[in-house]
Amino acid sequence: MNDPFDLLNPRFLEKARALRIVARRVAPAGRWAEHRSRERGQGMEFRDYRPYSEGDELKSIDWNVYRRLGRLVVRLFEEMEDLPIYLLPDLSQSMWQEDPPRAVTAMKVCVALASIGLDQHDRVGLFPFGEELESTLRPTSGRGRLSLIAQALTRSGEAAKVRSSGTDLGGAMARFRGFGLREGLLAIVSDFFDPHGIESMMTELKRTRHRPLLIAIGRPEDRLPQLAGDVRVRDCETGDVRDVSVSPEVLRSYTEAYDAHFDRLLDFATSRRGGFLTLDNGADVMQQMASMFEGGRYVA
Amino acid sequence: MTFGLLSGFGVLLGVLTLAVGLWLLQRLRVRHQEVQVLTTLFWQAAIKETRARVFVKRFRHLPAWLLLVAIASLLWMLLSRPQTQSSDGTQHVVLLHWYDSDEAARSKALQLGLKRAATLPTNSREIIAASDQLHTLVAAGEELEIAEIRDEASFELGSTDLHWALNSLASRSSADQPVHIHLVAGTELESDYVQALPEHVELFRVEDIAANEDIQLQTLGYSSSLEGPWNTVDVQFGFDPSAKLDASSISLKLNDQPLRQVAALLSENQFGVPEIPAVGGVLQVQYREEVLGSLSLPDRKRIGVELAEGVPEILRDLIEIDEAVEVISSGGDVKVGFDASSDLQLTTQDSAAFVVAADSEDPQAALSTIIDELALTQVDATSLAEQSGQIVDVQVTASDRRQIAVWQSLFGSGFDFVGSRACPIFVARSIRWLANRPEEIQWAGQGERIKPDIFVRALIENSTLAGQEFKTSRLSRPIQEAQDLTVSPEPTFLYWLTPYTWFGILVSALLATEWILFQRGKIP
Repeated sequence: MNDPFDLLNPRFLEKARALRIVARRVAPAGRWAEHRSRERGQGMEFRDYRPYSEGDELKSIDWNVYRRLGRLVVRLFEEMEDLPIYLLPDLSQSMWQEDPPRAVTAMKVCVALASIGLDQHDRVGLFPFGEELESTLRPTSGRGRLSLIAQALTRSGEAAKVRSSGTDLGGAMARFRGFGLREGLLAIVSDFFDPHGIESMMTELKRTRHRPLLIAIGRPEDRLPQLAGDVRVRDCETGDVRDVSVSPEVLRSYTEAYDAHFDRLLDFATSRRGGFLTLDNGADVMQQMASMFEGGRYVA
Repeated sequence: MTFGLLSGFGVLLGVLTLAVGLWLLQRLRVRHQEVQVLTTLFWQAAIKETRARVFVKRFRHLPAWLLLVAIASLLWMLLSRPQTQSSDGTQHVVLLHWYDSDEAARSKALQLGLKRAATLPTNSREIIAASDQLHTLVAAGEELEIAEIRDEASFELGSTDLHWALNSLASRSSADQPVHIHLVAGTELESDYVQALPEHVELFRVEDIAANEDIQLQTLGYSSSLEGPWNTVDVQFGFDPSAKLDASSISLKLNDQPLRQVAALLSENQFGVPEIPAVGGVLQVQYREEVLGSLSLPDRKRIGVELAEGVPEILRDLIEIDEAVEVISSGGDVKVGFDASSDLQLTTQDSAAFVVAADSEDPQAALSTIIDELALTQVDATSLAEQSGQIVDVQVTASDRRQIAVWQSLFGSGFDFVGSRACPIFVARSIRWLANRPEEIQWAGQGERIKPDIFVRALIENSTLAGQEFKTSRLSRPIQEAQDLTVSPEPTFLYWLTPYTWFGILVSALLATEWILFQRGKIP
């Protein structure tokens, strides 16, 4: 099996088994799985009573309540359904500039999330993006589908590496929203360096009911660049150049702009009851993910 | 120190130089080190934050700015042609006094004056033309090019008295400010008048020798004639091998009279004139009527020899046929006889065959030299010993006068000495040695020290310098003035290190420093 990005590393996958994603209430109309659904249904766990109405099954009437209170009520049980997980790895050119590339880290994060989801009988869909969003793999479930997802990621990654596309988070989210997929967990794994800014992305996300999980892959140098003197910075994606006389004052302004950018992402994710995680591309991926997903700490 | 006095071409050149320099500096400013980044998103924000460069903000690159200011200032000073003041405060006045002559002479005088002025400190030299009044062509500090512009303005030409002009210039300065007047004039000045000038005024004459400036003597000398009579010398002189000579333009004069002999080409640009009478006098070497060098010839009188009665006939004959010798009855330079007072004493075989009394403190050390000088090495001593039955040897003794004692019998029939080649040579050499008239070779080449009887033209013209010793390097560079400037106190090798040069070096060094600092990222 061709695995140039080492996505199916056994040790990596073994660590992913300890991670879990817990959903508050998943959207109804899903398949049976491990997450509580907003739908009350035929599950094993009692959830609530409601007054009997015509059409309710007689076996759902709680006759003990009727005998004590003389009122007909029916017992409601938890409906357990799956949580759709939509993986959106950023494979734009900026994600391929370093060694190891951030795109590979993004793909590993996606494999880890897919592994978690598939283990929980959730459906996992794959939508890599750069300037355009691709529907590489429609949501699928089954623990045996992990290799399928890894292969799809590998194909997308190899193509993106050659294509060298830019980044358009807003456009990608708009296209994704157009798919009209069931409400689920929308995991965007990116550096979030969009020359157009992140406003359009947040606007598009607000228009959906998906719960955003924003995973930012970066390096400490992104925030504190090791530059001095007069430099001409060239954007690797757009070719845009800026002549900068780097001084402590300029560096301070740069860091403030950087912090403001990611603070807005964090605020947005929090406001949407989503998650925000920053990963250091130079450190162990699974160890960093564990801080969020280990033992079901993360509730989607 | 202003561009206002530069010519149009000079200004254009200066502006272009300045433009090129600033362009290069500008290139340094905009050549950023290019770095590829993942996004310029945050840099845009950072630049926006610091874009406003207002005066209240702290200047960020003070050292770099100071360096740039230093470079620009030095460039400005460099282009304004800095000059140092004359070290001793001497004022130099180039006085042109050919202005009552025709146009060609006037132009020639101006060119000579400009040439001289170019060698003088800018801030302390001026060029003044003496016509019916004194006209300043170039004031102190002004560029020389302005002289021709003012000359073209053509003031009225008129004659003036040179003495009046000199007196006027001398009266302008005080005793504590030396004035050197460089005179470009066709008229001569009486020595009495020059002597009467104030002490703080020195007079220098500027002459034109440009016609033969490139043709200069490199060697000049004489030697005793190889083939000619005793009282003649062979003269040789040579020019720089690279000089392009017209041999027909070379002429010789002895005591201002054309010489009968013609210079013969010995080798490339080397000439010889044989058998010139050595009767004293000055021999001049001329090229196109220009005297390039002069030579005082020796006065070679014959050696007077007194012969005593009884001197062997063969010895008498050998002395009489010697053209360097004149047999006289009394008062001779050398006496040949039998008594101890004779310079060449004929002795019996009781003493050594050759006894030489030398005026040397260490006769033993002089032995080999004397044997050579008297050609005794050519004597077949073995044969003489066999014929005499005695040891034939040479003894040298110290004495206050020269004397040679030799067996009289050597000049008789008992020995074959008189028939040998060594005999006439020994006799001739002995007479010359005793008269202290060695073979003369007076020769000078460039850079050698020579005796004062070899002169260059200028030294002969100035009689007060005669008799001194001079370096023959002057042979290759005839001086321009009757009295030249005193030697500059500055070492020769520092002549090119003018302030102008120093500024250039400093600017280059600063530019290199800036470039290195920029390359290392030390300055923006």
